[in-house]
Amino acid sequence: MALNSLTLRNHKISPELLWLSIGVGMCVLPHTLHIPPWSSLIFFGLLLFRLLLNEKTVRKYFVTMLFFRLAIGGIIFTGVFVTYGTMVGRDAGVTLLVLLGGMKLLEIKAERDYFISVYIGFLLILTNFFYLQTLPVSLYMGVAVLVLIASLVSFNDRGHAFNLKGRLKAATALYIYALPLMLIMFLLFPRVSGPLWGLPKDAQSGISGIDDEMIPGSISELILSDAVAFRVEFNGPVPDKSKLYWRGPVLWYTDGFKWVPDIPKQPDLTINYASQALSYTVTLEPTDKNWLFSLDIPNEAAQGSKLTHDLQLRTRRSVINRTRYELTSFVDYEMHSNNPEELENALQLPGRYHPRTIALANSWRNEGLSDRAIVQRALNHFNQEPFFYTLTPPIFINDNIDEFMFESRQGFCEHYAAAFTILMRAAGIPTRVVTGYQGGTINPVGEYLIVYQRDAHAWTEIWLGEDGGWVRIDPTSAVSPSRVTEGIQSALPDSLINVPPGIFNNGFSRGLWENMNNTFDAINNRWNQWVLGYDRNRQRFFFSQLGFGRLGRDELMIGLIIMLLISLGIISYSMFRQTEIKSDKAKSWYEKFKRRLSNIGISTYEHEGPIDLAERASKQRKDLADSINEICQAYVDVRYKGKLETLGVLEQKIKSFKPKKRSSQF
Amino acid sequence: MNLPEQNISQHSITSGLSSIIDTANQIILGKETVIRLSLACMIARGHLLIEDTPGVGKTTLAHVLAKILGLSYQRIQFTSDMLPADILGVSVFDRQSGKFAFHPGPIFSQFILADEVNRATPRAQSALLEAMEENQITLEGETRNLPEPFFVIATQNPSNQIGTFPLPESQLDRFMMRLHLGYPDNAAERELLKGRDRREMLVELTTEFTPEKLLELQKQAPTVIVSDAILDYLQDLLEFSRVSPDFNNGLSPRAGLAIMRCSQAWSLLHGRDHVLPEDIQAVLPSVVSHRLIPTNEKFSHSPEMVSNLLIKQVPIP
Repeated sequence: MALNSLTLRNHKISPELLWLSIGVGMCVLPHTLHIPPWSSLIFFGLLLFRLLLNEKTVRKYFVTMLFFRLAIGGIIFTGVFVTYGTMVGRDAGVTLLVLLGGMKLLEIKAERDYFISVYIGFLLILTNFFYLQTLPVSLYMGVAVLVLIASLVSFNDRGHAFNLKGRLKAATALYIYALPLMLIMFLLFPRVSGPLWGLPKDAQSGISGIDDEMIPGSISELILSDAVAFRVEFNGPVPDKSKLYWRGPVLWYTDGFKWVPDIPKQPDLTINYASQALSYTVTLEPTDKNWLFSLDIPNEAAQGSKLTHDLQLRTRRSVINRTRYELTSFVDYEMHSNNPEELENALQLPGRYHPRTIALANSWRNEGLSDRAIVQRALNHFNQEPFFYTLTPPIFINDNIDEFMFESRQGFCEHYAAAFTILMRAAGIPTRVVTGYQGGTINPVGEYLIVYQRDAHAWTEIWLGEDGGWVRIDPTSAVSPSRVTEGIQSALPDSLINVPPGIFNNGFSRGLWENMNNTFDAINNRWNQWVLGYDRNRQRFFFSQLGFGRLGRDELMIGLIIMLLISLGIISYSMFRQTEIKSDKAKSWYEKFKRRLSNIGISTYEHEGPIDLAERASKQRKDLADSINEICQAYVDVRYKGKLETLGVLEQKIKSFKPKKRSSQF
Repeated sequence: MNLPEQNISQHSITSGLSSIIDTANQIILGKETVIRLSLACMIARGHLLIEDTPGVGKTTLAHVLAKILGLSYQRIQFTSDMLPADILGVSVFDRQSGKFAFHPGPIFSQFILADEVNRATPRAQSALLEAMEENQITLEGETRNLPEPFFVIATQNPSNQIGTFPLPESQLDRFMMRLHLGYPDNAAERELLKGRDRREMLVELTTEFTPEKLLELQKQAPTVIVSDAILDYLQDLLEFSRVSPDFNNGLSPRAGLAIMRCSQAWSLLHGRDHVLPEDIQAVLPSVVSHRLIPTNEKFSHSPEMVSNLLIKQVPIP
């Protein structure tokens, strides 16, 4: 199909409309994933309906159509309101825009309406970034922009001189002209910290991650998620996997079901670091929560956060953008709390709950064991009794800890951490639950560590008196040691984790699959770091690397304007040059045409204009009159009318003009 | 889809033009090119000099043009004893009001026929020429604007006749075009002899054309596209006239502007929105023949001279 125009049973769809429809359709396609299905149906229905109408019908029934449009409009507004309960916000707004964009197609009758439709298309492209800003989405949107530009080219090509190739070529040329401008704007435009405008509230919904409340099942839910939690670049070797505990919220209090954190306080700790300092950079995906994750344990707070008494990194505002921060941590340490009140809090038990578990702990205590011996006893209990590590524990009915400890004995890390804490507290040992992530996957392509949501984990810290301090105990490792040493993949059945599609599921191609995944994530990471994460700091860094030193906002603005002017100058000069070249090309084609005429015995003069020549030549050769007139008119169009885009037409006509000399009777 | 035609207004005006050209053709027989060139000259805001022997229809042409365009018309017969006040007007003391009152001369009309302009003395000639140049006159310290549109057709007897003061080269330059009417051809002359009295026909002449339409055309003419290729051609022509040994002096920049304006008007007259090399060639003889002095006396001031010595020598780039 030439895509110049499409003909369906005598019904001709003009190239302008066809290209516009494809362009706008492409903009809407990704939205179908998150707008309600009825609205996608209406949009594509309207699109199809418009394509089947011809121009005359649109003009003739314009008033009738007005009532039709009013009716559809009513349906749309009601539908959106019923679905969302509002007209504003991201989802409702985008749905409305998509539908009204479809309506606009219906009322196209003048040039102006075309342009408005194209601009709605551009707006729809922008709105796609409210949902996803990944590289593939951006590339797709780049193609959609190209199609929209091609449809703009079509409007300005009234004579339908372009074929598919020519149209795309013209659009691509415009695209390329715009690229340097885009790059300059991107690099130089002063960045504000935080988003330029606030996204509507509902844009943050659906982000999953570690919460600061723990209920049975809250972490195992995350295990099914392939989403990235954060990426880490170490300035040095990556520590052993079993040491990679990423500290998040610390939970102190329980009501027998739910675990909640303490109120953040100033740290009052004495810490002896027993290993080398590890410095690293974390790029955290948006969480919509106000804490950061650090390798256990950080020695100071990252920029923009505060260290609490239980070594959480709390931020003032929620992390709604991808955030980069640098930290230094020590994996071996001795941590002493100087606050007796804290130890009190770490002994809290939920009133009348968990009697059997508490009784068990008391029985150990009554045996006269030391704190350390009780810890060992509890871990042995998990290890030797038939406990199972499973993602799908049975549902607990009344007392989740007691039922887990004595009946089902199947649970996930949060069950082990909670049960262990209750045991310790009942035995009089201060204990707290720590949530976060454990492990991570090294991406050999980009040489960084990826921590996925499925690496979510919960463990405990117990107080071993003045000689021990706070010590990390991971009860899960007593049941499933490989969870900690090898990562979550080895602890769970294959079928749950990152299953490659059928053909990749054997030895060799599985490696290929992983390699592809790694490469893809490495590209994505670069994209995140340098494009999406190009903030004020990155901008400063970039220009200081170029040797500009620290540029202020004013200097950036001036630089921006100067660079824009220079590149606009270069672009307009080159476009101007192209005009000359094209005009000259037309001339050389015309000379070729004149030579062909003299070859068949029609003399040509240098001082004769194209119209005079056409008139004279067509009198001499009536059989060639049509093509001669057409060629001369096309030449006039390019050379004297300034319609450079029709150069192709002239070329084509002269190429196919191969006259024969008349036979010799004359 | 069919987008609305952009140049509808232009189209309707130019179609109005073709109907008035037809009307003029019925009165002045066999002179369509001359009529078209005169109209182009008016659209380009120029003035016209007609040089020919008496009796070939110079006055009739002027009269017809004024009438079909609906312009107010005045004829000034130039004589050897003429004074500037006879053209421009004079202030006369009014005894009742005790003030001087200005009585405007014949120049305050939209369309002036300055008949036999070379019979007057240079003093009277220059009064007219200055008014043509400035489109306003200054008398006794007071500036008065001439009407719009303002158009002068001057006629001149061939300068070798007795009792004439030929216009100097510098003043010839003020006229955008110079035309020759020439004798009618055989068929046209026969029809003229058989037909009705031209003056009677003139009186009956009605027109739907208005001065406003002419002003509109005058405004539109400069928007006709002159492509780079056309400018190249025009510059080549000017350059050739300056270096060619066939001419005593080359064409002035003013002449170049006049050629461009006239060719724009010419293409507008033919319903086009862009200038072709043919347009330049069509107007060139009338626009430059009175500005160029050929070294060879044989070609002296004839349009053929231009076509032979200039147009045929310069290739279209």
